[in-house]
Amino acid sequence: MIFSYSWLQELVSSKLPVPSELADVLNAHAFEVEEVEKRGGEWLLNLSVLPNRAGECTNHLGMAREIAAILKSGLKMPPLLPMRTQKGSLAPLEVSVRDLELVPRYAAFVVEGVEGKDSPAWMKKRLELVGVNSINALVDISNYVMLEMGQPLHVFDYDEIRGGIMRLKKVQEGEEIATLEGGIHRLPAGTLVIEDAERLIDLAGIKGGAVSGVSQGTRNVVFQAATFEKFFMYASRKRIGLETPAAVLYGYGIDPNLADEALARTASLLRELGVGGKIVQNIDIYPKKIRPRKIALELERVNSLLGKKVPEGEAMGILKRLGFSCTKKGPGRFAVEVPTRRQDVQLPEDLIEEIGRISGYENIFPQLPTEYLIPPEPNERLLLEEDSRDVLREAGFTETYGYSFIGEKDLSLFAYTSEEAEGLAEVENPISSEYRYLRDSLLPNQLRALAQNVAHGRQGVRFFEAGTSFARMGEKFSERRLLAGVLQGDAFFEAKGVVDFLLERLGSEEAWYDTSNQAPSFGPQGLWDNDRSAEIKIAGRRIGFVGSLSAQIAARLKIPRAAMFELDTEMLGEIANTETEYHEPSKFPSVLRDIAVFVPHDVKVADVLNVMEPAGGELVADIDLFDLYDAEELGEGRKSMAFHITFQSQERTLKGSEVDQAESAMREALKANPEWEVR
Amino acid sequence: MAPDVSGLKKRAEEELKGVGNLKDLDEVFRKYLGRKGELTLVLRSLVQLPVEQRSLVSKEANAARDELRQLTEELRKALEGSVRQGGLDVTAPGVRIVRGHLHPLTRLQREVNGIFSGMGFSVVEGPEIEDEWHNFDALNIPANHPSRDMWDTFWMKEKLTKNRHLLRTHTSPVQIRYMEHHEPPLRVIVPGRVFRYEATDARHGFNFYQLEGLMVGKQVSVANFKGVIMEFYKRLFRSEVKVRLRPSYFPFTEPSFEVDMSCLLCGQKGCGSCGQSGWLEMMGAGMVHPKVFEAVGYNPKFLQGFAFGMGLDRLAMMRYKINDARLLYSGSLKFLEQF
Repeated sequence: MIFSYSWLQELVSSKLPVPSELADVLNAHAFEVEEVEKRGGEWLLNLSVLPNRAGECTNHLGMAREIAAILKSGLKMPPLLPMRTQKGSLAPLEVSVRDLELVPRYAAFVVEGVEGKDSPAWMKKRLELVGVNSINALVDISNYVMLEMGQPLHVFDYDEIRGGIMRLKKVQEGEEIATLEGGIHRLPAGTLVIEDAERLIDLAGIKGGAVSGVSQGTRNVVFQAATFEKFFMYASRKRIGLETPAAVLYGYGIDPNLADEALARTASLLRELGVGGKIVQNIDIYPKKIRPRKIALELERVNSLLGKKVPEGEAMGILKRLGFSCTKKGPGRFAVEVPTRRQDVQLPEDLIEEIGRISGYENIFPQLPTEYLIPPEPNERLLLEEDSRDVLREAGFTETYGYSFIGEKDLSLFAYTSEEAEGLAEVENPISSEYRYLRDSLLPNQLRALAQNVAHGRQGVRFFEAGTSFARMGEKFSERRLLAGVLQGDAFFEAKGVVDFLLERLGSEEAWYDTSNQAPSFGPQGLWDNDRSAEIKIAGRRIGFVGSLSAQIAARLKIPRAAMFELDTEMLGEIANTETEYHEPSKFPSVLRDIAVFVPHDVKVADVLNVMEPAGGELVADIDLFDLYDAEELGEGRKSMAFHITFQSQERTLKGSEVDQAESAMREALKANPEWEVR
Repeated sequence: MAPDVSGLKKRAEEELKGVGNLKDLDEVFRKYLGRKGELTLVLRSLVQLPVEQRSLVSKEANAARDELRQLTEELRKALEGSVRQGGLDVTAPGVRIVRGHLHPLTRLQREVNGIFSGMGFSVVEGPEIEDEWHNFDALNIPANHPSRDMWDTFWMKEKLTKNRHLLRTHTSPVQIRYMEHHEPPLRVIVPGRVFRYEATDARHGFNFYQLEGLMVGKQVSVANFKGVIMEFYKRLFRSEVKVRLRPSYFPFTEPSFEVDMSCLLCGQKGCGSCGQSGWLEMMGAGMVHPKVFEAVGYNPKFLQGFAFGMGLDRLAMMRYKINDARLLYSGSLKFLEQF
């Protein structure tokens, strides 16, 4: 809110520091200063008053009270005119409130015989500087009092209230009202309004009705200083979507006891501005008077929470300057009475904040905790993720952080089936359709990043991300931590090699690549090339998927080829073993033999290994595929595989005859299959 | 007379010692081992020697030839090598090593986690899709209260009308989740991704990272908060820093502060980064509100604690002098490969 420096000065009894210094004082002890500026010869301060204090401090008197308390000065009340009604000729208004819990107080007075005129120049200027348009003296007075004291006021044309009746009630479904700013609002059932004998005349606490507004020709008026329940008003304003200054203030909560002074100030301004007229009726429906709350405060607690000894005199002085009254109940114990305007102060801690900030946080000296130290627990999940990041970086991958969202267009771009799209977690109020769903896989955004860098001419791009994926199952949402990577190019075996490297480094047992089930655990199946992808299984559990990007999606993204993998890091954690153990290499020489075999096209390397390994027996230390040749000259549907076989023992030097025997056993085992030809 | 093979060999060895380049080497080679070389001639003349001398001289001459050949060969290799070395352009670029990069937010989080772990804080985490109770109500932010407007919220599309789901607007709900299952005293930090329903610009994103801190005990005070947070900044920025608390409001802390750190760029003289104030806004913090303790079943009478929440994206921007928050999520190699 914008505050006028000269207006504040009028309300504080001592001379204020210069505006920039006043700003520093407020910043340190009360509210954040957004801006200090001079406009039209006047200094203005834009202060950010947060919701806890906005009900009583977004007005000049409230702010002056703060300033006076900080500067150890006093408050100077503006002129008030005690309420005295005079005899007049107007018929008395009959006001009734049906929902007393929504209207804690309804106070108003009726003025007979006002003269329509403009406000004086000083008032116009003051209003306009803080951002309020001047309309006429009557409306300006109501705005002025709100800006000065924080009480929203409304002024009605008495002669437009038909039947001399004002009823505060909740509307039924479908009722409409035309308000002063020119809009017509269809009101949700339960909205609080004021009606006269025939029609709705006011959207209570939010905006006046068009029919009952004042104009230059208005002769008799009603000034209303009501209090409405804050939660109700907040919800009501949100439902209707009308953010008027009064509605916002009511949402923060207004002190019912403020109405008296606000009306007295109104009466004083009516006289000061020469608007004329006399108060002929005083209305006050206030069945349950709000009384000050009492809080027991112990100085010991103040000192303990702040970590600083505040002298008793200083603490009590601060509270008194802020309008609290303190009664000593024993050594270091007090009963503190809270002024009713301070609805935010409910607990001793609220009082401690008042003492802390006014005495100054800069006077609290930093001190490391003396509480005993419990060694922190390691976060195993996070440690494993950090290890994975390091491994992938070693493998030449660059880490990306992607947005958690995917968009409507991504569903077709990345080939989501309608069933898959159904399982996406969806945001009710997305920023735009581009970010409507939460990602169920990290790959779509990774591929997009890959495509962007490829478009910029980059080669050999390898990206990875460790992030959260989301899914919806019926009415439940779930999330999982994933580790995903993409590799530019026709790089299936590199991707697989990286997965093996990662698993080895994390201390997992070897993975099995299963092609029998082509459904990835996360994200759309259409992302993958079915002929070039596999499930990664360890000990029978699916921990992820590795494969090539579908040619169709690659073409859409304008990436010639790409390979990728996606793993469930939580499962990785369960199979990882971070213990490292040294294994002594054999002291005895190894013998190397080669075996090459022609096999039909559909035979997999794993099939051949599965025959060779058991046949070779214990002497085989390692079998290593060194050539995989798949060419037409080999004949119809055949391919060639060549292996280095290492024979070695931990206990002795092998005899040539032993190795020959083992090797021939392997060859014989391979020959047992009539379609395989050992070279 | 028998030829003096050993004298010949000695001379040849002496001359080879004086050789400094390939041309001289060739000359010496030719002089002794060439077609008309001295040693070659000796070998050819062996037939003219008496038989009784022949085998002895032959043996000696052949051995000398082999030795000299080996010697010249070694010399040749050494001389050729030195020629190649002299001709190598060492200013040509080295072979580029292919390496990967960690994201700046990962690097920063590791550093931050390390500093707090050193001060006894455990690193804990929580879900990114939260329920309304943990994200708001338990933190003393009731429905229909204007304080909820301080967090622009993404709501999940669902049929629930009570305790609805949302994308967590801060890491603070993890305070609640942690305290629900642990007894004080405790020290935890919570790094994680949070979401705000707002348009992105160079300073804000709709998803970003926060680091929450919570310490609860019998005597934990504002002075302790100042001590811990000053120590943190000192270690993170590796220099002496000042910390300033300003009054603020968060429903889950009382008192509440904004925390400013002295601007290290200008040494508090005032610069563009700190808006000429000498101070940088770093985080929100405060002493845990008694209602929060009540929400998790603690007795607020016997407990005190501080909590804080800082934006890690902003901290990364300061730490690495990044001028646009969106770069962090851009996936641009030009950006990422600088880390």
